[in-house]
Amino acid sequence: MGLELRDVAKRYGPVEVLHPLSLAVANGEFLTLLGPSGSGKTTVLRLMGGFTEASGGQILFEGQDITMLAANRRPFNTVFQDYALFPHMTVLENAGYGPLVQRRNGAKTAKLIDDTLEIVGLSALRDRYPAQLSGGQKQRVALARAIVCEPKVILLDEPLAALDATLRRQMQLFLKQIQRRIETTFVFVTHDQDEAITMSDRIVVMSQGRIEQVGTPKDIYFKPRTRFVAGFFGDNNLIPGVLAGPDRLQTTAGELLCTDTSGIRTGQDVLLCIRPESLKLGQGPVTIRAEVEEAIFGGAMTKLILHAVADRSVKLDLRLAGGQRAETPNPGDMVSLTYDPADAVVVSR
Amino acid sequence: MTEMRRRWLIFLGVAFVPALLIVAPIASFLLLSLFRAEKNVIIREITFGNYTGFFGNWTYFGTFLGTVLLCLEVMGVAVLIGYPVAWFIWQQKGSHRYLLLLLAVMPLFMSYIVKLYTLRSMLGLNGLVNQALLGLGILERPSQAFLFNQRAVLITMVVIYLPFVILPIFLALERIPRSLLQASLDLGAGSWDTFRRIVLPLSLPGTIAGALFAFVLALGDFVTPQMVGGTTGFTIGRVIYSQFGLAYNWPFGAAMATILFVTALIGILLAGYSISRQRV
Amino acid sequence: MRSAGDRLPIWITGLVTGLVFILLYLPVFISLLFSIVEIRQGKILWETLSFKHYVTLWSNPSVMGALSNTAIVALISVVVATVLALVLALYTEWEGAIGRRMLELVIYLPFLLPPIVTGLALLVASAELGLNRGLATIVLGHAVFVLAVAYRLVLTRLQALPHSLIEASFDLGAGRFQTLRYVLLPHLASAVMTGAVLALTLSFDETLISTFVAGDQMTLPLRLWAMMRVGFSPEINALVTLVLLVSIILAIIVAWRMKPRGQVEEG
Repeated sequence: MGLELRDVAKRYGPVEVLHPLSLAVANGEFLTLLGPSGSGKTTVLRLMGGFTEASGGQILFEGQDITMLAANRRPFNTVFQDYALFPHMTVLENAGYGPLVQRRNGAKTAKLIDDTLEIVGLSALRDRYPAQLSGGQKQRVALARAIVCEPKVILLDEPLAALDATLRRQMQLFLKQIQRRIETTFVFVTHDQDEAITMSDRIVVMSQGRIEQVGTPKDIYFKPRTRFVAGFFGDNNLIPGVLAGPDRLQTTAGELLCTDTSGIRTGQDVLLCIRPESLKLGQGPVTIRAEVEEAIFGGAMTKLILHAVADRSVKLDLRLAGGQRAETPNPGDMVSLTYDPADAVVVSR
Repeated sequence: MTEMRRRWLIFLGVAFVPALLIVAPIASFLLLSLFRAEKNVIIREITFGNYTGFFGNWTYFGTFLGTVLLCLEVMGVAVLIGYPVAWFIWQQKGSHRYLLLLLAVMPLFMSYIVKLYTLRSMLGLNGLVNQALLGLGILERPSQAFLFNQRAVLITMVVIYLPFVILPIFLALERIPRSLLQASLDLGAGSWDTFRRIVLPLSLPGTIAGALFAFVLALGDFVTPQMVGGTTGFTIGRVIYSQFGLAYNWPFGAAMATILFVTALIGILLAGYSISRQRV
Repeated sequence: MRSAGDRLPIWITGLVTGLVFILLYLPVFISLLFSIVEIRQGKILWETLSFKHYVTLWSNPSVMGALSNTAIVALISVVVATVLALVLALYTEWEGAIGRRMLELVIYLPFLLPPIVTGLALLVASAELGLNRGLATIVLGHAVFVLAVAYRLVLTRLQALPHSLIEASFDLGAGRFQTLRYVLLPHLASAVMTGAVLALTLSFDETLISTFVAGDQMTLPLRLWAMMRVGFSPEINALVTLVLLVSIILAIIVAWRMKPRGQVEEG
């Protein structure tokens, strides 16, 4: 059952920030709402949390309509982007705020708070005030404060945005571990693709108030269904062409193959997407002749930037495994490229 | 010339004017409080006679304590009225909010003497307050109760100093991040819990600052008691003022003003201390 | 998603706010009303409506004298205070290694202390120095009083100025004076102006310090006070109305200049 949005929309006056969308979140799932700023991902989260009223549609939890339920009556808790820790309360008081205002007290609650602080590794800092904590520690307090309420769903609004890169990676792992341990649904908002891919069970990619695609990280990464998703994850190779048959397409770089053309009619303008990791040097069932523009040594990987010989405007990007004695082509070299047609995907243009 | 000497010279050059215009007058007036006056002539010998005379004479010391009490009352009433007003303005949205704030703050810029005058005319025998109460049938004939007594001083001071209380409270409320209120709501708190546990503690520094303004301003006010206080509304400010006029005992007046100054300073320090104890 | 119970505090505080605003602004309307019509036995006599009391003010030499004194005092003290504030703010921001806190305390003191203390201090000092009380001492009193406000505004703006801007100016070969002239002053101009208008408003209404240092000179508030001791009259109400009007206009100018801009309302 879990949490479900049915045709939920949000308008501010004439501005439609969220077109009607439907989405189901399964219990115990780590779901990420991913998109650039202005895509509507935070609005979806605020609708779930009850901080914004929907302009239309229904929000259900375990089959119950909670659309009109106020934030303090929903069994969800939010971890805010700026942490929203109460500055005049200690770590312990912050963590205990939920039980306090819900009039839950007694030994059991005290133990729950203690245990939670233990889980997030804050037991030693329980008497500190937020101003005395580092960014990562504040983040943990915010999480502990939500967990103590034993919510059915925890909503996280870009909680790692303010942290530096190293701390961010630590916290990603930490959040994932916590989520498994407490077996609670997490709905996580981020604009960072890597973060979404590392942490999520499923990703909802959003753009301009619409859902572009919902799927597992692998699906989203290797099998984009829309042009937006195809271009959203790093240096994807996007080759424009026309679908000429069920598994072949005509491009300026020659005839190319692709097995996954579901939902696209012959004769339609398409983009062929091949991840740089799927492109290999050498001959195969389909071959592209290309000229090396640049070879950039990147440690574990060497990045090759090329263009098709048949059409210089078709830029290509591929990764070669590194290694001290690995041979890499030099700029100006002519090479053959190939890929497994099963690894490619087409999206309409 | 060393760097340090250059800096000192610049400091002395810049600090000279404030020192001459502010520090020197205060110093000379503190010094004056240690002299004594005899038949309108100031005798320049150091003595604590003014201070012992003040604390030893109940007429003066009692008036002083009464004034402090009155100012605490003004402060309390002004905060009790000012807080709800600041809260209400804070609850409004967008340009509405700033318009209301402007309306609340604008009386700060209106002439003090003019406000006194209009309030006095409102509280008087033929004033609006009496007319309204007569019209409503609450009073049978105009009452003298609203003017020329301690209560009149209290009412007038509260009205005059209210904007000084509203502004800092509003500013403190406005500094509370909206996400804190949402977080409180999210964790299950109702509006009352959120107010009591989050809004009130976080707006306390501003409330203390506002209360301090009301207290200090009321403490030194000698015109309000004179205008609306009549014979019972006697405050230490009036006593001090008369020492520089009719009574013509400057050293004694200076001594009482020094005590006022120290009382205000204690208020400022206490407020500063309790604000700094807040962890915000 | 608010219930009726949640609205109750809004209604109650709204009512309090309404009453307070009536209390704060009723005087303005009453003096306006009393200055143009006669009121007898609680009845407004509309047929007596006239602006003659405003006209007679112009031919009242004591009022006009007080008005010109107020204007002179306000202008000179504001100029003095603004220049002083600018110098002091530049010092505390640039050179402030020595005595910054001390200096700021001194600057703010006349504003924090009860006016009676500031007024008395200036009175005693001028008597000690053998200065005759008059316009000059009023100017000094007002300058000292409004300095705190002007200083605060200029300093806030100065602190908002990115340090790199000044460094860039030095880096490009500008001297101290040139940096001041071409980088700082243009940037500070609007804050200085706002501070000056605010100071003007305060000086225009200043009463308590003035009573001690005015000697036999009269400013407008002092003249009003003297007139009020005699009793109520339509002429006083006309003067009161004009004084209030000027204060309100000045306050609106200040508010408009200090209005927060580019506020983003979050959804």
